[in-house]
Amino acid sequence: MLALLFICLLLPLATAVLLMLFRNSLNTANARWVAVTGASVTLLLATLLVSRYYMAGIKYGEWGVKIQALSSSVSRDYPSSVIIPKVEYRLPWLQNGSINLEMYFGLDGISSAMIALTALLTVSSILISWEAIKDRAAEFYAALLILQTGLIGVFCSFDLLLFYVFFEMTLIPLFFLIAIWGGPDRKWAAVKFFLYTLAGSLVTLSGLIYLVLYVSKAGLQNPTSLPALSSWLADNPLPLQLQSTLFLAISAGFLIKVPVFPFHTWLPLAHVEAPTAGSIVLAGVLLKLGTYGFLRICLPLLPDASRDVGLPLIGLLSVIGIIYGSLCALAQRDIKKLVAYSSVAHLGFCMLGLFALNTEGITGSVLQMINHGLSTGALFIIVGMIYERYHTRMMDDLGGLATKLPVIGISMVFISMSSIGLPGLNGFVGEFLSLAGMFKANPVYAALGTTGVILGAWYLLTAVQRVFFGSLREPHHHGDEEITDMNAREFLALAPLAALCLWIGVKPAMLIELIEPDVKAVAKILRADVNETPVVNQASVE
Amino acid sequence: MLEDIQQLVLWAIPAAPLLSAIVTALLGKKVLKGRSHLPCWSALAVSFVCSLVLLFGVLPGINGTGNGYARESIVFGFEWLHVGTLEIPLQLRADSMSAIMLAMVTGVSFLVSLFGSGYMHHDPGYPRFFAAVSMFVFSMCMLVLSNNFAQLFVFWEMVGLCSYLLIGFWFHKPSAAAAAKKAFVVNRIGDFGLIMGIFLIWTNFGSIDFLHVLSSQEVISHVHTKSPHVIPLICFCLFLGAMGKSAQFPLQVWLPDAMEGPTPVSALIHAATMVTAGVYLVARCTPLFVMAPNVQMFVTAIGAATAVIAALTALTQTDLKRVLAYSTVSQLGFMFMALGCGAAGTELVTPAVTAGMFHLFTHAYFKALLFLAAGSVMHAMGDIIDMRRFSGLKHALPITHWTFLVGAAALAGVPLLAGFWSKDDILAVLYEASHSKEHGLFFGTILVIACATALLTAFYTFRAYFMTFWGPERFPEEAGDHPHEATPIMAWPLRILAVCAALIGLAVGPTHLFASYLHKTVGLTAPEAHGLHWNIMALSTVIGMAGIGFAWMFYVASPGIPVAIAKAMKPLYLVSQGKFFLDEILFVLVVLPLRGIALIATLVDRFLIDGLIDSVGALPGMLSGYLKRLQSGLVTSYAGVMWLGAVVVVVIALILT
Repeated sequence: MLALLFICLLLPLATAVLLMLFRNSLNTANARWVAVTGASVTLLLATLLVSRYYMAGIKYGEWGVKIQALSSSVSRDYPSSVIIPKVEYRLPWLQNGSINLEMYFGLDGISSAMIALTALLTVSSILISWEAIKDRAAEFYAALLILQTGLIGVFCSFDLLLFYVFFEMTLIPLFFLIAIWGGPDRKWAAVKFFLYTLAGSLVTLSGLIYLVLYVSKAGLQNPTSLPALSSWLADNPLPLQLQSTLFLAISAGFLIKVPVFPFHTWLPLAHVEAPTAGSIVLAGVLLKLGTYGFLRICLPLLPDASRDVGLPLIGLLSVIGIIYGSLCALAQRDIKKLVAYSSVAHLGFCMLGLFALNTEGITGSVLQMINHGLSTGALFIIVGMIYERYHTRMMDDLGGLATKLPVIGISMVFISMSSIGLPGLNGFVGEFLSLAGMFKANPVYAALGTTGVILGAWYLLTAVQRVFFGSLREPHHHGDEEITDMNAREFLALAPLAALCLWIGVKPAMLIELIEPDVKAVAKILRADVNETPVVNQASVE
Repeated sequence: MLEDIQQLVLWAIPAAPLLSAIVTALLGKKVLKGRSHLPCWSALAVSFVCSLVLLFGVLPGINGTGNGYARESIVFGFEWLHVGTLEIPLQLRADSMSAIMLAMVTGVSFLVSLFGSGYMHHDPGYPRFFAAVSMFVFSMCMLVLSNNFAQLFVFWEMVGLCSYLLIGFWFHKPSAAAAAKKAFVVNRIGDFGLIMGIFLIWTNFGSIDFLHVLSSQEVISHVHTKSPHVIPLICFCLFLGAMGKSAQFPLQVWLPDAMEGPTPVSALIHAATMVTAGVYLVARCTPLFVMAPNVQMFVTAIGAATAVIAALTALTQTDLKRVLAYSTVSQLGFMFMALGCGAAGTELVTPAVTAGMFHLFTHAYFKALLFLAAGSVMHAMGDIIDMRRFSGLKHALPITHWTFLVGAAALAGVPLLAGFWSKDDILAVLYEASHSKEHGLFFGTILVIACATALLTAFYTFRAYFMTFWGPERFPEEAGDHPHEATPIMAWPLRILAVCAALIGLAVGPTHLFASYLHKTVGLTAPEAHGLHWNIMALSTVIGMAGIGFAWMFYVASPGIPVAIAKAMKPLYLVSQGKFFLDEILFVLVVLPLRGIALIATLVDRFLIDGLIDSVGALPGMLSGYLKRLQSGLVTSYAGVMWLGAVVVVVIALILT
């Protein structure tokens, strides 16, 4: 399993290197074939990885036993840790007296799900760029694949140093993707995206450095290892004051990355300017680095601050983000910008669930991370298809496309339903659990957040109505090329996402089984599940 | 063995339409084409037969054994979602109330699907229609068979989706596309309430299982004594959900627009079945609602307001389908009026719920009949449904005429027909509620409103009937040379429904079959063998006849009267014709402000938030702009600054020491 993990991590990078080395001799057609081969093999292996991880769990029955059975050293070395990679690889690299740093690669349920999502979306984004990217294709695909390595790297790092390195590594390829292959305002969008997120993550870095120095001074030998930190901090909780300061500092980068209101303004700009592939990966995975960072670092390491500062503050910002993002989406005329603002709202649900700090909420939040990746990724694919055909994304220029492009129309209705949380499709499960969790923690936030369900249906169905329904309205398109419905390649890019939307919606149990043990471990230290009074059982006893 | 058969029967009811939906969706366009109705027909026939077996065979068999909740129902299923303390199994559970609903839903759906194959025959979306109808029946059956609130919500949304897809069936029509979106979004407002209700139930009861929440009086009173405001709040939230789905004031605006869908869909979804889901939900949650008399009175008040407003609107509409749509809204109001009567006294709970459910049951038949007959008119008139453009159709369309007349008479409350019995039950329970000490005045007022609405109902129904079928024979040019009467595949469902509309009330109402079957539902008690309310019956007969008489006078005997009245009471006439301007009011009060806020939000986003970020970003640039001037490259200025700096350092050093 470990070998699989490293191949998944390095194969995209290797493919990218190959593309860069031969970029002059490869024409566009060859480059994309090389890229899609590399990405598909990665996807295959990632699927294998998740299924083997899952099967390993199933074989041993209860998940509690599984953790032991998967032979990780965590339970031995760090008994109080709530971050428990079930598969791990520890490589010592700096030993100096009391300091003993190691590179800690690992895998748990949450990270394996995110790795699979990354691999899937990369293949889709290569397929959807097939015709759209003609200029410097080899470099384009190389950047996309380096981005993939960076993202997978973040998800398999159980070590602050590695985490941060991969976290920042993702910025560079995406910067180039936007700045070189983007829309008319691409330079400004790329610079803004880069500087804004970098500025945030520098604050995060300073917080992390302070934390590492503090615990290493207090005697922890490997202060960058997440399980070690988690175990140590569980036994020696930091004072609340310090936790809160650190929480705010470390949150900075993640808040911008997610993005949480009011740090979101780079996102619509970046989305509008980015090429379709960039948007897919940006919305689908990159934003999740923020939520994943909260889940991996803030919640388990700073549980008291998460409860005392995070829940009231970030909960509130998320609620505002949901309503505000939805309202902004409602007012957009550019459909891509609409989807971008819908991301702000959806990530609001995700953060709301996360800061419910209980099993229901966090599970919902992780599901929402994956679901948003699937459905928003798919929405960007569809927007890309329309743009490729009509060279416009303005809803005023388009109308009634469902009569001309029925398959794209059906897909759009399907994906919109997934995005607005229709039961039976994936969005519902994540949203419902997130809101349910938050309702337990703070009913007012949950109630306000639930209004986003109404607004979500409003803006997305309005977009569907304007672009796909009514009488046919097309802009004058250049050339005499016939506008055709979805082709096989586009279908291949979209179909797996749609299939997963349906599968998660109909049978969420498997995905939940995969992630729940990790969520439960974190929820345990947040102690939000403890004070539950099984009211009714008492009553029935009486 | 017996248990296996029971389970099979229960599974087959939703499984057959689901299978049909999948098959039709996958194969419809390429393989089935003009035969796309076949899977749907057969599936619905299977469902209907199974529902009847359940109704008459299975449930009576298990009654009387076991205790408590198990006595009335059979339950089984599997786990769907289990996270933390939130447990949502997928279960099928049937008790008396669901069995009655199922028999009604599958029966009406089957007839509508027969009619639909004739009605939709030349439509290019023929397979799509049957796929969606099958999907709808599946979802509706699952909704009725739910054993927990979350599963109910899941299928509550699924029927909403089918409604969206079918209202927007002709999506190339802008009005249909707009109506579909409106229906979905307005329903979502109600769903907000339902979600909140579910969360409240979950956090307070620790479970969302019907078995747990509804069956034990101790559990309910335990929660109620612990926090007395919770159960009324839960009931309010659930009722908000019901208001959306069942089109109650002020959320009823979506239903008349939903008539943009094909007429069989209007008959099935927007008259007989889906819109009654809200009534079903409130009836199902009776054990909760009895703990919240204030909410029950609210239910009654909303029902009464809806009934009278919709009836007044229906008076002046000229679109036949819209008249029927408003009448649906109005009749749903009647059902809610009845459901709230339990507030007047616990002994009234069972009669109240029985009356509401009975009206739901009979209404399904005669309203489906009326819609299908209207569809038949539309079919013959070349898709024209404006009553001003045709008249005197009784000779041209004899079958449609007779069946419509039966439906209209049933709706108007002509004695012995279906609507008469159920409406009489509602009036009777309101009458009894008006004798209560506490809320007598309230229910007395409601009774007067109900009687007035019943008069209006009879009037507008027969207004539509006379305008369509009486008078000089006129056809619109779209109808061609001579309008063609319904084909047999459309005529037979009409005839069967006409028989139902005529007789089903008599068969199960005064014989107490309905009441004695339904009372085995949890929360209801065995009905007292109360006699018929002859005075109420006489009253409602007079009212119904008076309404019909007025309609005859106005639209047949002296057609000048309505015009004169409209002139004399111009403002009132305009209010009614303008549908009380509810769409406009909601647009001004809700849509416009939200759009305004949305616009402001984007401006704030662009200029304030983003502007702030950009200026923070510009700060280093500005600073460096100033600083870079210092890098002048002139050695003399560097020397000067160095000297200045040295002086400053020395001064500071002196001060500090």
